[in-house]
Amino acid sequence: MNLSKSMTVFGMILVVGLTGCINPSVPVVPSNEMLLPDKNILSDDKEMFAVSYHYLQRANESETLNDWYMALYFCRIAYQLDPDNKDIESKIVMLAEKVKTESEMHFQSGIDFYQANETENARNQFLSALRINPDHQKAMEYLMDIIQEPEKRKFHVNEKKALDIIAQEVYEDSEKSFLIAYFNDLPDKSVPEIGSTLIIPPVEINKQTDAFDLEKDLMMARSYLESRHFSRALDMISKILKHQSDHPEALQLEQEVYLQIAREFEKFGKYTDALNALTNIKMSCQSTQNYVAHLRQLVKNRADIYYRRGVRFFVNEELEKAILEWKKALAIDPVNTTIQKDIENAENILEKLHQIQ
Amino acid sequence: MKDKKASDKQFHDFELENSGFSELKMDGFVLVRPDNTDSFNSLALRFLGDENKGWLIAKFNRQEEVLPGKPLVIPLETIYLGGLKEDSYQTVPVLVYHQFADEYSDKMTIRTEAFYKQMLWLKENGYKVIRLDQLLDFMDFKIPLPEKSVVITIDDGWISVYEIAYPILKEFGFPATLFVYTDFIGGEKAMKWSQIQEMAQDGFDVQSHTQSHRSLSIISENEPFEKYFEFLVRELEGSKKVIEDYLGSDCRYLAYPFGETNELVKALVEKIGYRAAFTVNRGSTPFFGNRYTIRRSVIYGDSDIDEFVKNISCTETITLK
Repeated sequence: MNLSKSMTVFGMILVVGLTGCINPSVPVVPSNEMLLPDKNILSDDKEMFAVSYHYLQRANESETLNDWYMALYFCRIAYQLDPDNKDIESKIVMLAEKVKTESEMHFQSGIDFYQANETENARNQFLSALRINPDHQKAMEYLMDIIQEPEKRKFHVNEKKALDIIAQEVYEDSEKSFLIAYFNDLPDKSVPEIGSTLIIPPVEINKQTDAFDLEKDLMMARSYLESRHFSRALDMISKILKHQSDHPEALQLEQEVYLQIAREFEKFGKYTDALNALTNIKMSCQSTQNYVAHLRQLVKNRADIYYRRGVRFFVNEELEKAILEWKKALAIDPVNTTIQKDIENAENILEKLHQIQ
Repeated sequence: MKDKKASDKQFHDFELENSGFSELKMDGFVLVRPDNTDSFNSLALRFLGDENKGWLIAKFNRQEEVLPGKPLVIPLETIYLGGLKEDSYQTVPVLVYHQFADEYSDKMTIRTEAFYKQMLWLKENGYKVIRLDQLLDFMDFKIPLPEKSVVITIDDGWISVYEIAYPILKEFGFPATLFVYTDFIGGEKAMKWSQIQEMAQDGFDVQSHTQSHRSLSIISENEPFEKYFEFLVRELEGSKKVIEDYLGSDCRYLAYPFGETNELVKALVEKIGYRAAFTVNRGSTPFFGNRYTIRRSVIYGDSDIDEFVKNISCTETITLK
């Protein structure tokens, strides 16, 4: 392959390729005719110059869009590839000045808007300043700290005062001194140094309200259920049911909460408490009824232990001991009519025996 | 075959050497003549130290792909910060998901097929899914982002995230952030820590959604202020510590339960060392948004692809003259 020939072709591709990338809707003719490159640009040894020319055009394009910062950057690229070009050098000086003055103009305009409480206009001007000069620190500071963030409350310590006195002054509540201590990394009962500045955290907190938002309240109820905050979940559900007493999802959630509470009681052997929890369910399904039957059986089984013991005492004619055991059984299974009747019967016999004696 | 490749390379090197340059480091940029092994990402890794910045070289050179032999300028200065243009600024949508299932069950649960379609839409339409660290670096005006950037977050820690969302996200190569509430993890319907660790090792970000998921913004009736404050500290410090202990990495972001917060919570979140915190207020975030109330858009189970697309807004029109 003839290398010299291939280089010429490469140079042509390079220039066509680079200029061909430019958006056709944007004028690409350099504003200063003096900056146009020599027609010999296609010669093999002027590749750098071709790239430089391309970036000079990009600079002109950015200039027409008032994007002085990018125009300056493109010019700096162009100049480094064509360092003898005095026109680019002077264009760099002009653009650097433009970046400075234009960004400053927007910044000052932003300040004016800001002082007139026109925050949106102020914000736009600070953004303009930053677009033209991303290094404009003051524009950034105004944008981030002043417009966006509410100014943090501070307390300048001018005299020797304990934190509870300061808390009384700023919150009208000396007991909130712990809050100031926490946010300023100070011991609870300390006396801050004169001249220091303390951060005063805000304490305006919303109390739980009764404002009704069905979607949100349902979501919160579901979430509290999942995180096993049962009482909070029930609070949410009762709030929903207060507004819509037949809301199916709320009723379903309520059933789920009480089922989970019952399961917790069951885990610790508190079967009666589990059954009591289930009595709160307004809308009961077959599986809940099955669970109730299962719990009742567990209660009966446990009560049976004491009941059988009572029967043994009864057969041995130890009626008082029998009654005692049966009462234990009844405490576990208070709705068990057999135990109730047996106790009644034993007590009657005991009474008659006492009368005979 | 191997010999032919070697001789091709020798010829190629000779050609580069004799055609002026293959790589010229200048003040603020590098001029490079790529060869047929280069891609924007490989060049970004070589010159910018981050292969995710390949888009930046493509944008700067106005090229969709690397053309071997055609010189490229690689900008070494930080440009395109904030995505500021004459008539707009860049915003980044942050999406929130909760549960996933094969069939529709409720509003907070996305069907597998719908989620797949949403991810496919993002890919086919040229969106880049970025990490929270990138979003925050963008908000700190330190790095530019691709114009079509989006963040994916998934709240709570449901088992369906591991079973359904994780394989789909992996298939698309999309990173996501899991905001987990630590009391839930290990529960019947939740992921296990071992599964979360596996996802973290695969590049997923795991951050705090508090310990218990109780709303941070509301003090209960009859709850003493001091108790409420202790609760806040416990939720914020406790969840952070648990996540850091399990994963051995920093926990620096928080998603408020129910998206709710107040001024005290925000101050405390910052004090405890979180870099940013997220609400569920719908909308996209510009670089100058408040770091402790970053917007997120909840994707609901009953929304179709058109509804989904409405949440993907990456630019805000404005007159910046």
